[in-house]
Amino acid sequence: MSRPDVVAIVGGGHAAAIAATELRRLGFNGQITVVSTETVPPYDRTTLSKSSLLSGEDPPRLWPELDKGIPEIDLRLGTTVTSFDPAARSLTLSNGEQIGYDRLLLALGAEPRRLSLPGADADGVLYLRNFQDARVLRSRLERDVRVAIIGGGLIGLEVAACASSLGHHVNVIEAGNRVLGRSVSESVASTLVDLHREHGVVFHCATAPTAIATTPEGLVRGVELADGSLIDADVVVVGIGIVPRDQLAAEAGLSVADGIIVNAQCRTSDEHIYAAGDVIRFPTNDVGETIRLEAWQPACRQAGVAAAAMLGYSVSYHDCPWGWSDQYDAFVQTVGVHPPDAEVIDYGDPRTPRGLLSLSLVDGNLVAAAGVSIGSGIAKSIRLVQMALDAGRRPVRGELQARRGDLASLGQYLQRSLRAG
Amino acid sequence: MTTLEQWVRVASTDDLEEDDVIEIVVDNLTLALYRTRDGYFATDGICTHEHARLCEGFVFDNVIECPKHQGRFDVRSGKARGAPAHISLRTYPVRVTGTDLEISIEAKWPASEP
Repeated sequence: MSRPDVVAIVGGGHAAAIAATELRRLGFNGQITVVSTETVPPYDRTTLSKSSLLSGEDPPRLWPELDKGIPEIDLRLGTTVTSFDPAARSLTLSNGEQIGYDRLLLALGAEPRRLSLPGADADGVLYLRNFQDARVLRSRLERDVRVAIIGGGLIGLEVAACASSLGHHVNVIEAGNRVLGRSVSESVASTLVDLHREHGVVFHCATAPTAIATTPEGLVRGVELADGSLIDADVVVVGIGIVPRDQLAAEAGLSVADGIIVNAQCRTSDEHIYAAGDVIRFPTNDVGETIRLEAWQPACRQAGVAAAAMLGYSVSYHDCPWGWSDQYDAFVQTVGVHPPDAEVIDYGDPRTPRGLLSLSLVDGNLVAAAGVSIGSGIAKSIRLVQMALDAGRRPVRGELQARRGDLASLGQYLQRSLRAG
Repeated sequence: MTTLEQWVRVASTDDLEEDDVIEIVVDNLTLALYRTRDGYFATDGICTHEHARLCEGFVFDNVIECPKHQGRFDVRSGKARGAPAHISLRTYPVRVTGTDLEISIEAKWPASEP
């Protein structure tokens, strides 16, 4: 295929911003049009549930400042793509305008999963996904409120940490047996739960909310639980997962299955259309298994791959996803995808500077790790595991088991196995 | 150069292995001191992205990777090398006198930046 002259990017998050930046960095001087439904230029979404929520400051911008002589990127804010036509290679915008493209990147992101309970549309039931959501939540937290959080995932616990740090009483409601079941090991999760409890946060696990209790005026007054109890709350924050915004792609006839299906080059079923970020589902191996990730670092890397691939570079995306969370002064990092039924081996101690590291093994193979420390001491251990996984190393299960508890010894073993390659 | 540079002993050459970083504090400045295959280098010790100590990061190929969000900087020039780091680090001259590592806290910004 010939090199493109016109690239359109649909979306205004990390993937869209990184792809646009990367196209220019790779020397693409043609037209780039970015169409975003958001009313502000791309910003660092990861801070919305952490530092920005705590400080009340707007998140840092991601939009690149291009050097002199590099063509501007056409950024259309507050604009929705209503449809696109792969055969004609054109987009239709909410203002009726049509834009043609040689290559299209779908970086549509995801939507928070909505709560479907009686009272769920009450004033005070909030979600946290974008700039506007964060402003609304922040303004509610400026008053003296009781906060209930539905969903004990990373977003829920990050909001719990911010809200309790701001002086609010916080209840966390989690339907599963424990919080962070999809993200980290039990020992890392319980370290965080202890920290939250020290800050006065109350947890209700293995119980499902049945309704949002409201005042006659339609304001939230609490969350009803399956056991009949009522948790008093003025603000309810719902963090029960995200749903990829893949409908537009499905309507245009692209392959979609809980996410837009892409190959290792981040190309969709249409050879001119790429996709990256939370909206995609991509192959994890050669036998057809696929995965959808909901994290910052994969979104950025996929965007880089898509940008290079659409210019004809030979690249492919394969990644051991890495992520982090800040809660109070605790720092959490994860690498790989934590499987719920893994064999877990713990090393170190969360009360020491190097922190606590959990390795997750499936069928005797290391597949993921999670760690927590006060300050960023855990980072080096996580990075070692990440390098081992990226390099395709298969640490020997017996060696990992023999070092159980001893983080320093594990580090030496992983370093040796990396050098051996 | 008419400025009289002041050199301060901050560490010994034995304090660093290759691809290693330590934190040093000079005149209330928190700095990171590196040893790579190309020699000894010093930069600001705190990441320009969010508060994190670079001494807890990884050094490879003359790059320091921040422990917190894996932003990258070239330790020789201080230049930001990878998202989410966009703002470069200041660098400081390092010299070896015998087994002493000395730095000058005359900060240098990377060329092409203010």
